[in-house]
Amino acid sequence: MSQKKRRARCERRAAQRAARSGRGTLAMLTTSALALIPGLAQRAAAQSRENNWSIAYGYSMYSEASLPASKISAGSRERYDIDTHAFKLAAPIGGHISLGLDVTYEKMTGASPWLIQSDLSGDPVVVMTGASIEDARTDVLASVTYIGEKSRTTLSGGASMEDDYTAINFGFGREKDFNQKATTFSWGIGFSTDEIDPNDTSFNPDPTKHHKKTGTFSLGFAQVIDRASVAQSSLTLQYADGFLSDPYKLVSAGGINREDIRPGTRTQVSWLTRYRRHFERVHGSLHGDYQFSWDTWDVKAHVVELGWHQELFELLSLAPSLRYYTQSQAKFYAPYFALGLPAERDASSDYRLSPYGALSFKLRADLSLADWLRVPEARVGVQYERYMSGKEFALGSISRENPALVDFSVLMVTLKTGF
Amino acid sequence: MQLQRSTFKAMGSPCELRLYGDPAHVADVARAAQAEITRLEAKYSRYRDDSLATRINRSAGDPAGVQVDDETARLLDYAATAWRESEGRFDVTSGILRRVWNFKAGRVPARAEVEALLPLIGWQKVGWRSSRIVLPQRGMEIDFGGYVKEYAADLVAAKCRELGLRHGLVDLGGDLAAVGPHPDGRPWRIGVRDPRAPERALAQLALFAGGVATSGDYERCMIVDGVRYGHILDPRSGFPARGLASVSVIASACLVAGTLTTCAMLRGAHGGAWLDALGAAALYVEESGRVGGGLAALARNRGAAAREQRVPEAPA
Amino acid sequence: MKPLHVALLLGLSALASACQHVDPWERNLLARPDMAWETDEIAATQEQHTYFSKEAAMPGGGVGGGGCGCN
Repeated sequence: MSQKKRRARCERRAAQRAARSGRGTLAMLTTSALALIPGLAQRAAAQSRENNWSIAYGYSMYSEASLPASKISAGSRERYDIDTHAFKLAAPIGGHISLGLDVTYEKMTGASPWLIQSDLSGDPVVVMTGASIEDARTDVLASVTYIGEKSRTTLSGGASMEDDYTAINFGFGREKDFNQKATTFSWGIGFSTDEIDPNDTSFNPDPTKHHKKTGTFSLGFAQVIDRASVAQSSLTLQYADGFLSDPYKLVSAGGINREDIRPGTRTQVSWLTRYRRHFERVHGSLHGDYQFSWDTWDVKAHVVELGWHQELFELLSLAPSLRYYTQSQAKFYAPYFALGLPAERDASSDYRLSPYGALSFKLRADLSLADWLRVPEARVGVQYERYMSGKEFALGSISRENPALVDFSVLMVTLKTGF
Repeated sequence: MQLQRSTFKAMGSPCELRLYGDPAHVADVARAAQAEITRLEAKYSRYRDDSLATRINRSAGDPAGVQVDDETARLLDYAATAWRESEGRFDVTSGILRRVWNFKAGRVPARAEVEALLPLIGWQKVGWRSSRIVLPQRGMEIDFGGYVKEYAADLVAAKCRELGLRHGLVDLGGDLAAVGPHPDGRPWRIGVRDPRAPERALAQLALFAGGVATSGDYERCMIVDGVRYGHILDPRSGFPARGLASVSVIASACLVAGTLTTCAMLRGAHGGAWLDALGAAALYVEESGRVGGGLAALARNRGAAAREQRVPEAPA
Repeated sequence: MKPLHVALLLGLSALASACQHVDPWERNLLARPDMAWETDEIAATQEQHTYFSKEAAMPGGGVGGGGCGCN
């Protein structure tokens, strides 16, 4: 090796040695300063985290479009209307613990598809339930998070209760930061046990209780790409075992109406990638999300969402976005079965397992009230979404669209404040 | 929320408090802040006959030394840490060099005069144990002036927060500590002077939290026979540091920022590289004019644009 | 859809190597509310619940929360 190279290597090694000991200097001085200046430690830790309580409330009005007469053979044309009240509380306790409480109450009225039949020309038409169904659901989720210097650990538990359905769930998650918080790895596991007790015998002849257990595992990472952009990618795996069918639906097979029967297990995998980029000159941000979903029922789905968040007058933000969805059908799906089926054969004509695509347009406006009310994090937001599904939006070609495919619109108002 | 500004003179420099809040509340906080600064001046100023610093210095040569309080103990611990981490460059015993260096009169001392003082300089010679400081030789001194102003800025900012303010900036003669960013989240814009044209801005730094300190060879310097002598003196040689024209550092506390700028200046031409190796948020200008440091990429007003800019009087 | 997934994986790894070092004091843009993963958590939860009830795909993005008899 030449003299010059040797010297250069020595200098590099010396610089590396200095760097290794040098990094300690900043820490030593800061630690020493911590003893002198009150509040320095908490401020350093809480710089990115507000030590405020935060409360949010949202009210949403969900309304499904009524079906055209051509698609119905019997029953109500009106579909679901769902009113939801959602409440969310986050409370920091001490320097390291954060408690969370989410409570949702929703009221559903309206009719839903009961079964699909073939009309005289062989096209599928839907028989709806009467418009007398009214149901309410309450969902509660409580969580405790321990916030460490470079990690967060969360334990959660909750329950969802309806007249005929009860579900209890638990979750555990962990996030760890690397590279001065530029990279974050996260993983989590969840477990849910559900019981369905179908008591409305007008649509379901069999009042047996059914059970279902679901386990979920997820793995993800988030990365800061540069000072104006971030990306995140996560993989979620879910395994469900038990009664996975819908007791309120029937299937027409060989002219006879029989139960909707689905396999006793289902494994689903989904991969979600998200990207956010801010454009300083125009004060706007671009949001892009893509998700691919796959399962053992043969359903493959893609979701693409693109949104633009525009800041106006420093306090107002307007965000239009577009969501595209497409799914393939479950292997045991058909709008109806012309020939008869063996009694135990899996079969369903539920539109949610049919092949279709959907396009939804969403517009959101947010107004920051923090300065005006002198209260941190105070915000009000309004959101309108219009969702349309049909075979014309799907990726592949579809011979017969399920007549019960739904279009809906949602109007939501949310209020948030900290204190 | 309204911004209130109050200016006053303290620790030999023009000071300014910029605080957001209800006027009556802010006035109370400003009064408390000034009281803190007055307290620190009374305790650590070497110009005051009744200060603790003078009492310590008068005890030089007395083996019993002086028993000090908690705050002073921590300040001396900090001085010890800084001395160790800077390999002897940051030294609170080097204040006596002012006896031979007179920057106002423009007098460069003879080498023999400086060397005569060197035996009285060196933190390793000081006895510092269990809250008792002993200056073994007569003529030795402890000078808190090298870092008490930055410490005061941090304390004042902490006091403002303790009294309920969340947005504001403390400026003690160029040593800055943030109470918090502007209420809408915008940072304080801090102009860094071009060391070779100090009325012009070289760059602008953004401060959300923590503190900023700047050292430059254009402050309190003297040029004798065409040679520039800065006011930051190397305790090992007794002569001014050479190599860096100016350094600005953003750190979690103004105290830490100030120590880093002083140490960087004392490392001369290698000071910039040392700051980079530490991963410090710094902006430095070498004597050659080269600008470097992690903050250099963020600095605006570089090059031609800088020539037209005037330095804002205080952070905006 | 395989080529699309390969492209996405390559894109992600390219992104990972293109990442610049961003110091903590430069993170102000990333802390903006419009740069968060969810602009409004309540709205996001509601939307996710709606899509989960009406579509066959599993909502990605982690665990937590339970099922329902959604029709």
